Amino acid sequence: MALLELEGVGRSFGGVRAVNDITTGVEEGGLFGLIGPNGAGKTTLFNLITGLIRPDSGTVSFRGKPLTRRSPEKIAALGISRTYQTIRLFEGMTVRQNVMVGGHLGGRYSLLDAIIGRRGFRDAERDLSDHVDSLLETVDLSARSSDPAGTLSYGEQRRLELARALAARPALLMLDEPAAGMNGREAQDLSTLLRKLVTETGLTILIIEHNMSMIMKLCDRVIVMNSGEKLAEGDPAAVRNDRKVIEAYLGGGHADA
Amino acid sequence: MIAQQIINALSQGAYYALFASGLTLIFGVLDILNLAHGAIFMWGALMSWFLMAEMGMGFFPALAISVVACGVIGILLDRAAFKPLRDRAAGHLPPLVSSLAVSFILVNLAERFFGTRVVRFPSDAVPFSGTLELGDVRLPMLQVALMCVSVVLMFALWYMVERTKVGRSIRALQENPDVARLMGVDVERTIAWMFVVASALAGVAGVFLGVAYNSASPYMGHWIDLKGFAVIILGGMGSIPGAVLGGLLIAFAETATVVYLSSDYRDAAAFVVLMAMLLIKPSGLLGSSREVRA
Amino acid sequence: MGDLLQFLASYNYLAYLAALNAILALSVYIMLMAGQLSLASMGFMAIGAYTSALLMINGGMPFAVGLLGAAALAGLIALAIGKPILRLKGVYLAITTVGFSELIRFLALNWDYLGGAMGLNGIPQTTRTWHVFLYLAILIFLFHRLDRSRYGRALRAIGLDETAAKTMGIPTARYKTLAFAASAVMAALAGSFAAHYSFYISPGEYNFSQAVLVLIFAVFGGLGTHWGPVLGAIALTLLPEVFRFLQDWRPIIYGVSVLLVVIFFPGGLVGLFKLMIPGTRRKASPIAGGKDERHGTA
Repeated sequence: MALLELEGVGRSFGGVRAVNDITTGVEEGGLFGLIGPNGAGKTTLFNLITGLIRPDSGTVSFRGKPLTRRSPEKIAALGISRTYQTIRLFEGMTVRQNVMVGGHLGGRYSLLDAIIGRRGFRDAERDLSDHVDSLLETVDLSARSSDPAGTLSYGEQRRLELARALAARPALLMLDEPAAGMNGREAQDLSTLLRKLVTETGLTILIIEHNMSMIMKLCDRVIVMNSGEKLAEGDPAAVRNDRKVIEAYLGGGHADA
Repeated sequence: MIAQQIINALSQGAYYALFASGLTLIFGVLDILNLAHGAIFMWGALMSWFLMAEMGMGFFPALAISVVACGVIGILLDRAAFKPLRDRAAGHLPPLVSSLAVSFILVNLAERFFGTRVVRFPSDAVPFSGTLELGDVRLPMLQVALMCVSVVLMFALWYMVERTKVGRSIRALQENPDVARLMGVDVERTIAWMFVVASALAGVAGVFLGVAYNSASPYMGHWIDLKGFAVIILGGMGSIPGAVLGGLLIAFAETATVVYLSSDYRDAAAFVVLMAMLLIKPSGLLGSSREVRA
Repeated sequence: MGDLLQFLASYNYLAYLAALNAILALSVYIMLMAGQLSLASMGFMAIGAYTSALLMINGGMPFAVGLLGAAALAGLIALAIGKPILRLKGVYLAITTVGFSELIRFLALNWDYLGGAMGLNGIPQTTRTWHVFLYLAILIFLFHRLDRSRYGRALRAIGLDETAAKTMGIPTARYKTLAFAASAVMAALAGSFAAHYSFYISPGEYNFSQAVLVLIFAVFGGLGTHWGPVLGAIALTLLPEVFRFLQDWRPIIYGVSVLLVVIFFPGGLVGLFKLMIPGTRRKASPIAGGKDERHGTA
């Protein structure tokens, strides 16, 4: 059984079919690319999966459980984390606090536990704190941990959002253009990190990215979207040579394919 | 009887519209609630009283000077309370508090200059003192004058916003401040003009309300602020026709409450109408639905 | 001797008032932590005051029961109206909560059982100054613990970006409603203590001006930590006393002080102290306007 399954998922906005009849799936433990020209409906698909918008047709299920009627917070609790194309950090908070919020789901203690300082609370906070430290280490932001998130560079903010998403210990991590604004070396480091996460922790990653060389090198399988529809799906080499894909990109005037 | 009440409601609605159109103009462009609007309204009333009662001026010169002075207070308000916060993009809470602070200062200055008591206007200085009788409906000339002034000013405001250069700049700012700046709108100048116009309108409302009820005091602005907010939410934040409609609706609701229930419930009417509205259509009668709900 | 007693008595009253204001400021602050501007505190304060006063006067109940009744009623009302009301944002929420407080006030004004405009007389004076201090101390402790837990962080996250908070697994609607209920209970208890400190209450005490004054306390003190509202309330309660010699000009000093702090010190009084004490400088208040206010949800 696939980890994430989409069946005939679609959504219109004011008569425009932003996502139309998408059927696909993502298996546990791999890196999956979601590519397509601007306006293809990739981010909308992310929003449909994470519950920020509801599909008007089709079903999304995660580990066999339907997501379609669940709220974003319930979907997150099932083990899906994400980042945003337009970075959405908590800018008034420090770097460290951002990641701590990301770990909200991990702390299994009640408000009362926190108020009376019960052991479960202290243990959970210590575990979270250690986890956050190691995540900051992982994304190379330890030195910035007490700086306000708004003061980070663009690439650093992308990495912080990644750490925040990882703090929930998700089963599925959805990254929306994580390498946008990064230079070649940063993007290379990110690729290495993502691959390491998949092999070492069994995490599943679904990634939207415009950096084609990164996608082609990194992903096990690639899903291509155009005008809201699924155009092709397969391993990177097959997708790269698919006629429809080439046409979509050349027709759309994109030189980066 | 009914006709008389309708006339009362219309003239009450005219006050609300005059007062609220300035509030809604400021909210529409800057996204802030100006809590000093009522204090400026009060200054308009007290200043015109001072000019008439103490300086012996006639109604019209007093009105003109008070209204211009209110416009100037409006600019000062913006410079003191809003501009510094605008420059650092401080969100909606700090301007609320800073405008409140200015309101304290304005009320206290009024106490110092005009005293804390309720003052009466000299009867000989006020024109329109007669009543117009149409059948069994008796119309105080003052009410008629106020309605005429309101209608004229609302049309003037509408004309300014829709047809003049300043108005185009205001609308551009309302749409998108960044784009407006790129289009060459002088943002600060436009905002200054907007405060002049909004505050002058509050001044007009203050003068007429003071004269009509023959009373003014430093505390007369407290209540109208609240009413004004109810009016602009009801009409749709940022919409000038909405302010007129909201003002009329609340005035009619209040009048109906007095006629059919009791004058004790008059002041609750505005909020009952407002709450009902928020549950049905939170964006108000003529508002766009942006960013009202989570 | 008589002068001295009067001196001490007046300071006792000032201390009580400062603590009471600090509690009210905290009840506004818990909502501000979540980025929500609620001005319902006066309404809940009135609910608390009338509930416990009537429980004692007409019900013959002990003070403790009066307090419990006040807290319970306010909490239940907040839970009932919280969900629809908290769907509104920003100034819409602010004005709706003002409307709520006004309606409560009109109810008190026009319901004979509540004494109408005359208010309630002969309320047992059971509040001691130390009650209010203890209550404030407990609240400060609770906020201290809240701040260090995932719940406090979640409230702040909601205030900064509600959508992002949701996808972090934070049930935003529920937390906002709970914060609203907590705020209501805090204000209601403050109302009870205040009612039983004096001996008389009337609807006029719970008006719009009072509500915005409490908001000023919080913002003046700073919204970065719970010490801000506490310090702000204490400072602004004592300020008119310090400037007693200015007599009738005091409101201007008040207005100017608030204006200067809001404009020049984004972190409020607490931010100002931090600037003066080297090494403690951290970034300004996180509650400056979250992303959701500017951009619509995606």
